[in-house]
Amino acid sequence: MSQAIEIGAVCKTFGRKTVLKDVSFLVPTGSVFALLGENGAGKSTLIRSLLGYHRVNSGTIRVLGLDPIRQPMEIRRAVGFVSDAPAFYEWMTVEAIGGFTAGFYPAGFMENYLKAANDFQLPWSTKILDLSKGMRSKVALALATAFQPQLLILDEPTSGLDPMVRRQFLESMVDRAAAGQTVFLSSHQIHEVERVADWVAILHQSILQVVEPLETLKSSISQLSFSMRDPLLPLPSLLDACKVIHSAQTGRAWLLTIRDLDASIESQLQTSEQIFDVKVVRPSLEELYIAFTSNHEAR
Amino acid sequence: MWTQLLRKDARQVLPSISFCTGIIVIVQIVSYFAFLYQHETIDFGFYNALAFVGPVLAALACAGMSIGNERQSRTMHWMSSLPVPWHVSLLSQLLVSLLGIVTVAITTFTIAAVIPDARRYDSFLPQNESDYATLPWLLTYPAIVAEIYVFSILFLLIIDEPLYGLAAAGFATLFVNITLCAIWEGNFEVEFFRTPELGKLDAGLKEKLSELDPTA
Amino acid sequence: MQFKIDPDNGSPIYEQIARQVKYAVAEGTLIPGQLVPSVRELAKSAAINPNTVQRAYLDLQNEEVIEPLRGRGMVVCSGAKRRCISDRQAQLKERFEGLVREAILSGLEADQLKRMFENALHQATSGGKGTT
Repeated sequence: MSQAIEIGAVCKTFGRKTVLKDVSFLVPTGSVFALLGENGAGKSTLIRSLLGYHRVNSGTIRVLGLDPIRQPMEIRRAVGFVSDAPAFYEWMTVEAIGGFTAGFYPAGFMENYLKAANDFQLPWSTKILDLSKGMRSKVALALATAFQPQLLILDEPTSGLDPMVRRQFLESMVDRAAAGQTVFLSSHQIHEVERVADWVAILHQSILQVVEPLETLKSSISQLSFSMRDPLLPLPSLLDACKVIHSAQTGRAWLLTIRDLDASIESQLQTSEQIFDVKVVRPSLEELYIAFTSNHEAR
Repeated sequence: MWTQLLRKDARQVLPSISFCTGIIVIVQIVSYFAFLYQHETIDFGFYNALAFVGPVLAALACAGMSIGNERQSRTMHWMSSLPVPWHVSLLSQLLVSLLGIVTVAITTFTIAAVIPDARRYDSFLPQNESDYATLPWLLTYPAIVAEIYVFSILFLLIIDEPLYGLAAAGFATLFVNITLCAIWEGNFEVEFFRTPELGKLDAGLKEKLSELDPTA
Repeated sequence: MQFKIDPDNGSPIYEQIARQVKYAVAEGTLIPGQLVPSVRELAKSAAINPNTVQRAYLDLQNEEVIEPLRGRGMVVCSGAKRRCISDRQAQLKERFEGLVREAILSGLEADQLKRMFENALHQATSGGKGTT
């Protein structure tokens, strides 16, 4: 199948609080798909719904073509999951937890686990109790990938971890993608996402603000900055036709984040008497994220 | 799959089983000597009670160590991301707990039964007719232990804090049992609610009471 | 060779990779006939998306900097060095022109600019080796 995950018009409320409102997107097989969004119930709830922990109020969810509510076992056999605070049996050693988990998966698990443990330099006979946070996360990743899952789901896997561990996670994710597996992750590490993601989705206040390939997102959005001689004057009318995602004003200076900015606009602004210091740059993903999550202006 | 699960659950439950057995056995042995030192005879009632307490403690502990611990440390959460059906996981814990509780029962009752003292005025084994009459009631004991265990599991799954869960299970058991007894009146006196009239007490018990307090 | 990727310096990652490969070829770090890392290897070691690497390699292939070698992977083309050097010079020319534009716009006089250039040239040629 071509879509690893299909989310269709999903809504989820907890009591009176809406955490997901009409969220729809598709995760193509073999891609690295990053879900960005502020801390809060939205992202984690969505991920947990993928695994069948939550039922959604309305909408459809299909993971590898299967329904998480009706076919959870089949999904778990083909999906690896790394949560943000993995919890294991503290008294087990790194080796023991591998052996324990291997019992639930087909043959070959232990071999792959051993290889990953070596790559990550995990101490084989140390109890999980005595491992650092970074080591624990690496154990979680090793366990989640040892059975060669078709889909790897990661929920903030590197939060609070040192750069070395984060790098190892990135390399592992990239390796999975190169091998044709799908990686779905939610993360706050926007710089990392910028390196490895094919697709980016931004969830803000329970609504999906944007979902598109990272490349087109970055290439179609520009940041236009300029200063007005008279700060009380309204913005020039030629900007009205622009698809402004976000605007910020500090005194005389304006910064507008615009999609599909026409090249002529920049030159037109430069000729204007009222406006000076006109610049157009391509924003980073972090700046884009801030633009999309600052207010409710239309996409 | 089963090997891994059973081994894991056995390892989880082992400390609590050892603790229950150990503590009861130690108290049994220590009180034996204490009784000998203080009185000339052994109060069987105390031993009996101890032996009965053992498996109850074990039931609570097993439930606590397996379900309660797993919920608290969120390992249950991790397990639910693995391809293990929840009923298989639960069954494994049940089996191991059952084995554990039975082990504790065998140990504590054996000790209570074989503690040697020629001067004990009463024995664990049935001595006379009234003792045989109480035998059927003893069979409710495994049911009560099972009840405590089941309630513990249920409440531990519902309530987040394990100690509260166990406490709730204890109260639930008491409540259910007292209610059942109140319904099935006549064969069981609930001392809490009524002042027992001596005339209604069992003949053997009456005799013992009069032995202790000749003025009654 | 080591790749230095900066996701938010404005230019797309695949461009950065392509540029760095061409630079290495121009410098002689990568010689004709030498294997470049596979897509998977490079993606993993630089921690970037394999599709991005693929895109870079495709561009490099179109520009005849690298070519596929059956069964082995991608190798540097024989005439690549010359192409990369001229490419690099074209880039330098662009940067130079941009710098001059910026200098003039910022109010620098043409004479001041000429003096700046001569000083810089003097320092560069007398201090160390000149690179072609």
